[in-house]
Amino acid sequence: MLRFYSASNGVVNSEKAMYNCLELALAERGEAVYQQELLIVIHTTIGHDFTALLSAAHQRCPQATVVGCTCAGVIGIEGANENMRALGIMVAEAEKKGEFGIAYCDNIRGYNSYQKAREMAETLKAETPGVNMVHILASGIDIAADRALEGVADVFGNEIPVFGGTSSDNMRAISTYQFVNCQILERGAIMIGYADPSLKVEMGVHHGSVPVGRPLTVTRSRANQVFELDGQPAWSLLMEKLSLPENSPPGPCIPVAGLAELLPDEYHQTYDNQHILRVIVKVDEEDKSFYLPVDCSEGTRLWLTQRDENLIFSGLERMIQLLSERIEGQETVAVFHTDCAARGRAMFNKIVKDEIIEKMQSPLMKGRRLPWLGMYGFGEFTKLNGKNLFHNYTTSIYALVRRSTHVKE
Amino acid sequence: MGAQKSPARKPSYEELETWCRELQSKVTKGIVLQQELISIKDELDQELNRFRLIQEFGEVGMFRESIRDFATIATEYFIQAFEQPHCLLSEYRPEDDRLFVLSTFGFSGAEAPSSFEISPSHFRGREGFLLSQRPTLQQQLSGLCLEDALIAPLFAPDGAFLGVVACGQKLEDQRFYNPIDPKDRYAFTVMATKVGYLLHNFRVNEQLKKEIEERKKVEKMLESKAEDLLRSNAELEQFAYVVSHDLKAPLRNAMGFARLLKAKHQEGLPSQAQGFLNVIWQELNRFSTIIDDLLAYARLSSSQLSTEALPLVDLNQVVERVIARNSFTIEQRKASIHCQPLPTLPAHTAQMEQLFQNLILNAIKFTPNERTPEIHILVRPEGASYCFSIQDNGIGIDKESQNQIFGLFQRLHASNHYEGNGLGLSICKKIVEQHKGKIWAQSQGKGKGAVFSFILPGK
Repeated sequence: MLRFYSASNGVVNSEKAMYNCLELALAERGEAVYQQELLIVIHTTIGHDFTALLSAAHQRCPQATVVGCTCAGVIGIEGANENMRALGIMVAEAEKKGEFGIAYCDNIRGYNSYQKAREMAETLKAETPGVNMVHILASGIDIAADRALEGVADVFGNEIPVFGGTSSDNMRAISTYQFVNCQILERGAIMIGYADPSLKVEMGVHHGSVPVGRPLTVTRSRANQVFELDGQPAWSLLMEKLSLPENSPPGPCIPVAGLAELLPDEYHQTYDNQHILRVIVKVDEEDKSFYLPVDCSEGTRLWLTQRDENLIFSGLERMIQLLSERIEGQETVAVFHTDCAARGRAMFNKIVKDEIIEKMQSPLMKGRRLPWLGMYGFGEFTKLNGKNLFHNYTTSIYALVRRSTHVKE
Repeated sequence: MGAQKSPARKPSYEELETWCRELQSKVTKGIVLQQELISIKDELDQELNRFRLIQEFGEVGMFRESIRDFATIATEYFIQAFEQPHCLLSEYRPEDDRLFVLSTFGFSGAEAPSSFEISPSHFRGREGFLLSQRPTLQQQLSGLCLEDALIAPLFAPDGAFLGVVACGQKLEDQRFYNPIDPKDRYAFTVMATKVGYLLHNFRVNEQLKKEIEERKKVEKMLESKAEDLLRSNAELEQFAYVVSHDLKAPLRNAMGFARLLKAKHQEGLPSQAQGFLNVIWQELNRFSTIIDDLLAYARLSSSQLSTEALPLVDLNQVVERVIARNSFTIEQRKASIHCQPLPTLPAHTAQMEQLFQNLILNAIKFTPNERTPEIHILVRPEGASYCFSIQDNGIGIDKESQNQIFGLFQRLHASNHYEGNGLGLSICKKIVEQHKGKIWAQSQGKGKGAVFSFILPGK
């Protein structure tokens, strides 16, 4: 049986930050827990000294498996922190061996996402029997996330829930990092398989943007690379539409350059929207094409989007309400949370941001210290209406719930 | 009849196209404007957070254990408040005219030297600035490889230059860090001012702590020395007592046999031998006096006089008894003694007699034979005590010797001029000190008489 503990802080000295987080998270467990086989999931912003973080984690917990990734901000019980040196951890303590396992790869790209994800899933399945949910932390720059999900599905089947997100930097979309024990990867992906039969994951997702204006049609594309929109170089046209310079890098444009794609009807209710959002984090300077995190076939219509504050708050309430109904009467043991990097300080001031987080945490925590680890990343994985999907600009909540005999039908 | 409402004209496709474009343009401008507003709000958030951190540092940095601890905390707060990857805090030491690095953040050991040769003259005013604006300074700090940095001098409240703080980024950091906003130098100056004041306080407190520690050390040393002295004095006094006591018995025997020799055989001796016998007799007597005085002194030293239990002694009677006991000497020298009415106070009677006797006889002894001794015994109240003075018209004491004369066996003159063993005044000092008083001598110089004063507590 897995037990979870979390903490986050803004301590700038990386070694101290890790020690402080571990101490805070495991305060109730006593000294012996540090010597056990633990899983430590790290989310850190880009300014930390990653080597020092990992080394401190291993020094304090020599038997621990350490995985993690960079993000634009950390969200914990303590709130959100988007400083250059913010750290959040979730520690999972296993009652017996084999309750969790990890697999990882380096150099995951759009063209090899299926293959790499499949190989990881195979490793995970072989080494950790009984995996009943998969947590992905992958590079967020040019992964084809839908292809990666296909790779997982081909090994574990469509039923297995996949959650997690893609790592980010501080919204510059230059580079993101993933961590596996003492290794620091720049284009890697990590899969964590949880094999605790007493646990299940319940998810909630929503975004608060609306499509505006006329759609732009993809007129030339290959896999997740879009060359032309309405017959013009894709990035150039998008920048023109947004009144931004043609040579703008993608990072600073993320908050305004989100694109909406029509969702099939069956997802409208669970997604709470007719459109799914796509982010652009990589642009080809030469041909002015851009990369989406999913395949984008020719003929796809893409809309510019605008955030709608009312929709953000009302959607958030609906999401939490739906989630609360699903987990009613059961014990929530931990919450993982991925939020779009653009939904942090790039879009909201501190007061609004804190309010959003409070609206999510309060109904689930119900006054207790519920382990919570969230990050502002480039994209989110969520299972919707029986299908694992990848999307952007959303808030996605993954509540790990202890199975109960009183599951609400 | 009302006016006939004309049916609305259907817009043309071109008009609709234009309106759509205008609308699209307005929407996109709205998106951009919204984003600009968010940026401004975010900037304000950051500024507020920065000042909260500066405030917090004021509290956290106040009472640190060591300068290293203080400097580490300071650099970490600079990193947090200004979101830069590197920080260096240095302190100016005027004696070396160099800046010494107190703490660094984000530099490898090899990058940050332990000191810099940058004098205060490089810093005009208290305001922070960007390193990129001062090429000379950038050159001097080139070892740090900083592409740009916020720099501010640190000052004490009195304006003394204390050091420099730098917080910035290298070229490779610019991958993830935005170029430093020149506006940040205002908040940086505020924080540097706070750090300067706290550093000053730390150093002042450190100095005070050091002084207190040193003072405690000296006090401890003095206490130990005083204990050593007391112990050594006690041992010496015990030694003097034992020696004088043990010498007394053989001396008594020698004097007995000398007295017998003198009484029974002196007349039969040749005149030269008679002379020798007289010298032996005189020397034995002198030796006996010395031993008596030494014994008296040793007894005084070894006994602890409890001033609380002392009887009240009328000093007028004490002086009268002393004059009566020494009337032969007084009359022989035709000495005149004038005594003011003296008080009654708690004292040891025998010791008071010894004290006055020693001082009166000294006054007579040290008055040249051709001069008639004039002795005045004066007294005046001093708070709860009395100050007594024995004033004479004797040979006086030169200034340099006035402190020496109370020491054991201290004689200023050869014994053939003024007889004595150098113990009388030591005994006086001991008696006065036993009574919790103080004694001293004054003289206008040789031939001008002397005044021996002492203070004794009253009732």
